[in-house]
Amino acid sequence: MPDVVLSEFAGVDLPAVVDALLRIVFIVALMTVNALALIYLERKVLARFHQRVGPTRTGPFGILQSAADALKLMAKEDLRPTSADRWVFELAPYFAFVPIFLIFVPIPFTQTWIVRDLELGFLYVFGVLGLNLVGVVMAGWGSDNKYALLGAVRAAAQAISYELPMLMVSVGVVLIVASHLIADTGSAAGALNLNVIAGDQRTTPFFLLQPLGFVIFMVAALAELHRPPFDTPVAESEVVGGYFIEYSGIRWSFFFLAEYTALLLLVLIASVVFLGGWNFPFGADAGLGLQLVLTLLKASALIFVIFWSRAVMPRLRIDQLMAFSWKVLLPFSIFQVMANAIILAYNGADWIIGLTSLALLVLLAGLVYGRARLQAGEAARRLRLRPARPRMITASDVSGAGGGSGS
Amino acid sequence: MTATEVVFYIIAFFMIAAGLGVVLFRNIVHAALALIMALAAVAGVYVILSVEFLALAQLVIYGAAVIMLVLFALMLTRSRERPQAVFGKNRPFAVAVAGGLLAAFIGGIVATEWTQPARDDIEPVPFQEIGDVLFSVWAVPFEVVSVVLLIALAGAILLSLPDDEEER
Amino acid sequence: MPPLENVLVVSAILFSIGVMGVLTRRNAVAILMSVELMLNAVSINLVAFAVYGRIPFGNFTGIIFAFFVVVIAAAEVALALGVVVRLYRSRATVNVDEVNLLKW
Repeated sequence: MPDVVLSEFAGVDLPAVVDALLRIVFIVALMTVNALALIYLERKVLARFHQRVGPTRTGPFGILQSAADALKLMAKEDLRPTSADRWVFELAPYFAFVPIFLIFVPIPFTQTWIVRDLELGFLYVFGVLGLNLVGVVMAGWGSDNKYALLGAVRAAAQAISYELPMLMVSVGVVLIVASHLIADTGSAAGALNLNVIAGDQRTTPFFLLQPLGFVIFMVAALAELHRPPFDTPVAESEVVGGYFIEYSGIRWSFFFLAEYTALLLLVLIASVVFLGGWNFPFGADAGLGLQLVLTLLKASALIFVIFWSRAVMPRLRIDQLMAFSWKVLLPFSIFQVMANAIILAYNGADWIIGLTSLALLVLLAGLVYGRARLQAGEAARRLRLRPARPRMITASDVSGAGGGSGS
Repeated sequence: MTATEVVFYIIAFFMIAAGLGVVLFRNIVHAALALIMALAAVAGVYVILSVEFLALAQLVIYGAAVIMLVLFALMLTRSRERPQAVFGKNRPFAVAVAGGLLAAFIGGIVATEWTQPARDDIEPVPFQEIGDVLFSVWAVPFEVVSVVLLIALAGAILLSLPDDEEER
Repeated sequence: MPPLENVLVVSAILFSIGVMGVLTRRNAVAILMSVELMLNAVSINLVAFAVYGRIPFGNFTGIIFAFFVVVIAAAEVALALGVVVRLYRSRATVNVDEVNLLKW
């Protein structure tokens, strides 16, 4: 197992402590650059969708815009409401940020560029991702603000609901990897290792074998990231700013950093698990540089899809959002796991798995589309049947309006 | 003392401090946050004992469950509106019982001669063996546990439904 | 790895803290949290015995048992919270001292 990251290039063996420090520095630098770049790119991409040009003033094409924003944030005063719970309020940003930071550990950027090759990497990702919620709930409660609390409760409910379908479709992928491993080596050891999962996709990336899994994973990732159309926890027209409404300056930027880092991480995981990561078209023979470019390209494509969905989708209501997870995504992800398990138990070929998954995906899409059509039709009929009729305003209306809507 | 042992004692210290926090914090939300720390520290102890799988299961399952506890604590207590006694009248008695119990435990642990293997014989438990045993020897209990979980889920929903038909 | 006795002592301390919490706390949710502490202390014991006894005794049932404890604890939290919600609805309190209807 390759234990060195940077020393491979330098060609020398560094002491373990120096090597570990170098890895941490590398990850921190990646996180910062990623956040700055994504903020700029999101504004540019979103602007193009809106037929605007986005930031142009700061530097050529406005690329220094996020650096300027970061400077402004650093210089801002760090405020704390007097009625806030001091320690909970001040520690919350770190509790939200550290788990996200820790998820970097098992991600294979290339075949050998991994902070640490964890045997249970996939499970580790989900275990640590859940801890992020602690910081969110702390921020929401510690701010002593009703909007912040509402945002935190929404975020918790949403994250717990959407983590389940995400876990289930991941189990579906792990089942396939385990069956391949058993066929190759006689034991399923390593099926939860993200690097092994990427290594299994030399010819067919898993989004071909598990189209339903890929779609559900991305939808759940949107919800975990509080991205439109699932951005109810931070919806500005409903809960103002969500759980970090009372934060400013450097603490607020920690939440922002956590959010954009989580975005990068989830698309990296999706690209490793479903799009083949470093392995898919060129395999292990390709150089480290090419593998890194492949992983990042796939991740960038997914990030673009996420920005795209922000530009074109309206926000879901909170009850629609919960119902969508529990009544649609979770049953379908369980069907997916059961279908995989049954096919693999009878030694079915990979293409059968792919076809079943595709059929399930078509069924899911048909259900959602049919339901939407039905509701749209009902709404249209209601509109036709009961047009708004002009009505005489009476004295009671006026007095009722004057007395407020207390009843 | 090896590095693993040092890490173990640090984690144990955090675990006990967080446990005391659960019991002693007056604010129920602070207690719940301390509980999360304690559970994370227990997961750390599992890692030290080389059972990474259990540590991760602990984080995944307890993480979500305890967040729910915190939220319920928030919604149900409203400590600001109506202050109430945090600790009962029997506190000295309880401390005495807990202390006595602890003394008995430690006495028993120290007095017992454990048939402990030599330090080199302790090997990490391979995660794959756990899986093999869990789904072969313990398959029936595993299924029973999943049925229990399902029934608990249904029961929790039934219990927390509103009383009158209209609100359902 | 640390000696077996030290692991056992740490878990005994955690268990005693949990006992103290169950006996002193009056808030039903807080009592539930203390029970979680006790369950975790027991799990540490089970895992420690399993890991240290794997070579001499040839099995590691304790780890499986600890896994079941985690799962059952999740079910227990769900049910207990249901009960607490009912309690709050009928008595408007979660203080267990005020829930004394069956005492008379």
